[in-house]
Amino acid sequence: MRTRVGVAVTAIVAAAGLYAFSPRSMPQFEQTRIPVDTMQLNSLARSSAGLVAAGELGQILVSRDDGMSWQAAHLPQSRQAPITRTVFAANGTGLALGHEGWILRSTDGGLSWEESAFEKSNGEPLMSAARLPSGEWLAVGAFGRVLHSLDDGRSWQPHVIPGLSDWHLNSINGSADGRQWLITGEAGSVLRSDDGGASWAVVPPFYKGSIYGAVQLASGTWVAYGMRGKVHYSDDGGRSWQASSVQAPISTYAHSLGDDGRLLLLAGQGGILLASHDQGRSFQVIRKEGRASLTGINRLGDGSLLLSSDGGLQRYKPATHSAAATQGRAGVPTPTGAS
Amino acid sequence: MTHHAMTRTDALVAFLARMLIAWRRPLGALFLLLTLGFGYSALNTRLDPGFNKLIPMSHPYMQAFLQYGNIFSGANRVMVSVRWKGEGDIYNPVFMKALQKVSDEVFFIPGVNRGELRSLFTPNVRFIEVTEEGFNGDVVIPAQFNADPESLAQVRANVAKSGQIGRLVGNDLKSALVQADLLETDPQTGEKLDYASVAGKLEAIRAAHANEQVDIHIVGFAKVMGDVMEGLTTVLLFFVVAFGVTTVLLWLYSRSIKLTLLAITVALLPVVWLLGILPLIGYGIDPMSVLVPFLIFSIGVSHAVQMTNAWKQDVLDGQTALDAAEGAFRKLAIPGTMALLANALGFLVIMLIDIPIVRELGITACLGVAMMIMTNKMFMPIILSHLHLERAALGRSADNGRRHALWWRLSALSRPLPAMLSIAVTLALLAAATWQSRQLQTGDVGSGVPELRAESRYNQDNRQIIHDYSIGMDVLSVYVDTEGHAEACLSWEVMNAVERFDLHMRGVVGVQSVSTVAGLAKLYVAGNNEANPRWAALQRSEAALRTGGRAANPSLGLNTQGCKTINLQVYLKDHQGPTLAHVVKEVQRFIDADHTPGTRFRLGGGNAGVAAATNEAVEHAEIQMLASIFGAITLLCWLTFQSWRAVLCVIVPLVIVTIMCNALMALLGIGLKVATLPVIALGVGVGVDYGIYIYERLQHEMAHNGLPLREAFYEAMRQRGTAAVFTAVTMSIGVGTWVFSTLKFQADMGILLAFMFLVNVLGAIFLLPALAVWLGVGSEEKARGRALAHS
Repeated sequence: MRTRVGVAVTAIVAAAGLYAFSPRSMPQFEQTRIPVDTMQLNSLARSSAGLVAAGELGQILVSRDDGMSWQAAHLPQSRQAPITRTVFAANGTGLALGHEGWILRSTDGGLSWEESAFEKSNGEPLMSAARLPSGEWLAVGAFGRVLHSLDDGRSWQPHVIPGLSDWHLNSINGSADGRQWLITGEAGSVLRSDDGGASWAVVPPFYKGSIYGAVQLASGTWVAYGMRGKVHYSDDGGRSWQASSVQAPISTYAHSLGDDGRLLLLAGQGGILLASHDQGRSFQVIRKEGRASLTGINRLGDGSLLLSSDGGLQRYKPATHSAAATQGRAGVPTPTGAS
Repeated sequence: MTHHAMTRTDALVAFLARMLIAWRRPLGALFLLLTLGFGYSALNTRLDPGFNKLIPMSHPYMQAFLQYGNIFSGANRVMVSVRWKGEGDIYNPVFMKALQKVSDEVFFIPGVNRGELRSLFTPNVRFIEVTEEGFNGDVVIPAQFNADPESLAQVRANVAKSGQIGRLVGNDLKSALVQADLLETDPQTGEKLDYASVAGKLEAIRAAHANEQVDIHIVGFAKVMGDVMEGLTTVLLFFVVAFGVTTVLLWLYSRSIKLTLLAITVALLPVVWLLGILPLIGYGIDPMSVLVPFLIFSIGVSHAVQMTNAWKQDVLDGQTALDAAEGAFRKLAIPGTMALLANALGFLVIMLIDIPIVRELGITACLGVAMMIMTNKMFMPIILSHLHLERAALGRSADNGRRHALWWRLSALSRPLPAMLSIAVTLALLAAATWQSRQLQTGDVGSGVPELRAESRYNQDNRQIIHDYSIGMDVLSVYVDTEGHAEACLSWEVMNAVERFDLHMRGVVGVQSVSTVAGLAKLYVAGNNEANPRWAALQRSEAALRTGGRAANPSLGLNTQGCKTINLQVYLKDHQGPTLAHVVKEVQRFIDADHTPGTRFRLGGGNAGVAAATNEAVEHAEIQMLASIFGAITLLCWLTFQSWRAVLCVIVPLVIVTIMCNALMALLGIGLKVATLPVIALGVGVGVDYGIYIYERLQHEMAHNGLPLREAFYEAMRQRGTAAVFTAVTMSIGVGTWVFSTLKFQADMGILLAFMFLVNVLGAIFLLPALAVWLGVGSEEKARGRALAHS
């Protein structure tokens, strides 16, 4: 009987030993996720589904909570090519453009996508697209390539705009009323249209570098932004251009227009945000943070800005004085959807 | 074996004892000669640290690392950060001059790969500017730099364009780096890198340039080794302290100068022999095996005390020195040798840890124990036989005949009720310890270099550099072997696999950043397109990939010529065990899912790769090691005592103390790693001594003298207990001095060993008798005694 007690104690110790030295559990780590804060993002747009960010390796991400959490959109297959831009038109159709002539189409605000075009060989990047008032889509890209679609983005055909050379085309942007349009590109290439994109005229080069985008302010002034701090403005619908004064010699890749159509923000290299309150005549640095190149700006409900960059998403809360100026309703879908 | 055989063993021991005494003069002379010879040889013992000794060689990660570690620079990098403490940023004449001097002096340190040295002043650091006309590039600091405001402004602009902010220049523009790679062997002379000399030169640079305006921070493996070697020199001081404390305690215990000197000398002998043998077999002392002399000395003292104690008791009983020496040998030959064999086993099983430095520790310690069997069990009785106890020590026998009050009271633990109390307390402690031990982590805990303390100069420098720049020292390298491509970096499939790895790893918690040839190639492609980020892409056509081809320059350290091997560098937030395990698991998950033809992803190098492999080797060895040592000790106890009850009485306390040791590690934030895992085996191997010594007497008194359990336990404690407690205390103090070491791992080892030594003796005193009662040892031994009487 006595021995049994001893044996029982031994058994308890043995069990404790086995438990103590059994493989120990590791502290739980958060699951591996798509690194929105460190990945290359080329575009940040707002759609009916929420915020849509896209870029590296064909990743398209959707956030329904102003960028707090992101989920991967559904793609039929990943082509591994980076998305250069996403565009959502007023009729609800969305396009994602990428390298290798990749075009994806969505009708649910970017949650799911269908592939419209992809070229396995010699596919150069498409850079921008827009839905014209006629319902026709135009897409522009590298080496002066222009594609158009007459079936709301389902199928695409090469398109010829007279006078176009093979310089890269970077953007296509329209006015709020959809009448005036600008296509911008490499080596100061600018084309303008006064008839909703039906006919185009080449603007004589006023600058020898690349222009990455253009936007029309509420006053009717156009601003075109490009390399190395070179920003120009035009008060006559894009016919003649003057240089703006810019504090920082950085290239800018994205813009955002205030609700009143007056405050213009440009985003670019060195994590820099430029602001203009004077019809694009002058720009001041309002943010300078990090080394990333900013590629997209989106206003959030709380007055802060969500920025996309080649180093991931960044948040920026404007200082109070400029916050008052930028304050407004979240998200201003412009007809062009350019970010 | 039967009891009949046991008496045969006794007879053999008695015979050996007689022979030893008969041949005592020639044997004594031989031992003296050996000591002189080894003592002379010991003068050649040298320090022998090395990077490769720390690597678990046969681990698959390390196969890849050994294959590629030398090709890709950066594994053995030294970074010297010059920090401006004055007003403004680094663009001032004073700072620039200091930086230039530091850069020049690092350049001339022997062992530095001079072509790869990088600082603002080296020609390989350039800036590239994209203009409307195309590229424009030059060195960052122009040749005609003269530190006037104009050229300083020029440098400021160039640095901004060079992309070096965060890399060679601090993010806050208050510091700049000189970055050097060391060559393990000198290509001209073929000599091995002298880490101590490199570390000394770096320290000299700090001494020369640090002043009230400029601070110098230095990190890198060479500096760690230098600091570790410097820390080792303090070990000698600890040895002197341990030696002194032990001497004083011995004297207090024995009140005999002769016995004190004898015990100390005999304990020192195996240390001298061991140090003499090491140079002969081509071994040196490294940061870990420096533990061995301490251990051998401590164990030596322990056995010497048991021997002198037994001898003294016989002398006090009126025997001659000669007879008492023979008797002491006879009594202690079996338990002493068993205990030493258990020690040796403890050292032997740590060789299961597949890391050279640990194996050397095991071999060295085994040798030491083997020496000790000779010095302690043979040389010592010979000396004792010549010894005459002085009067002072003899006087202490006055209390003879009266019971030793403390031990008698303690022996009550061998009565059922007090025993139950002891068991209950133990089980409560066990429950707490078991729960706590589950919190134990494998690998390093905390930040910085684990060899050194968190507040050491090196770790302060490390923190400062991590704070100032965007790069760190915790890099995990994953290697990609490519096949079937003349230029694998122009293959879209290969580059796409690398790019997907890059993106996947950036999403892993614990990863700070990832650096791959694919990421760099995208930057170069974008650079070719006016740095427009929307062009940063790897296209399917070879022609398009060629525009980023400059990224595949082997000198950038991300791939070999033709991208036969690609080096993917994952920078980690820290190198704590769980972080490493998690990141490695995620790498493996990617590798398992990826089936790109012509590629083979292999883990892994970098210091994080080495640490991950080491942790896996340690974790793998833990169970094996514990199972082996406990299995071996069980067998040993069984052979000695021929009783499963005896085995349990000795082993159960040992298991409990081992669990408690794990709990202590978790409590103190000490991780299970190369430095601490062997300690557990050593602690078990040494800790079993007490149980063996005490149980041997207990069994003897019951079987031969027919004493009941309590009387037998009392006798065991009277004869052996005092010596056991004494040795536990001296040994704990001996290794406990390490707590003050500047080296973190030595301090950890010291704490744990002291704990194991001390608590194991408590287990043998408090728990062993209680278990003996409740396992029915009393009735078993009574039966055994009867059987012995009949035979």
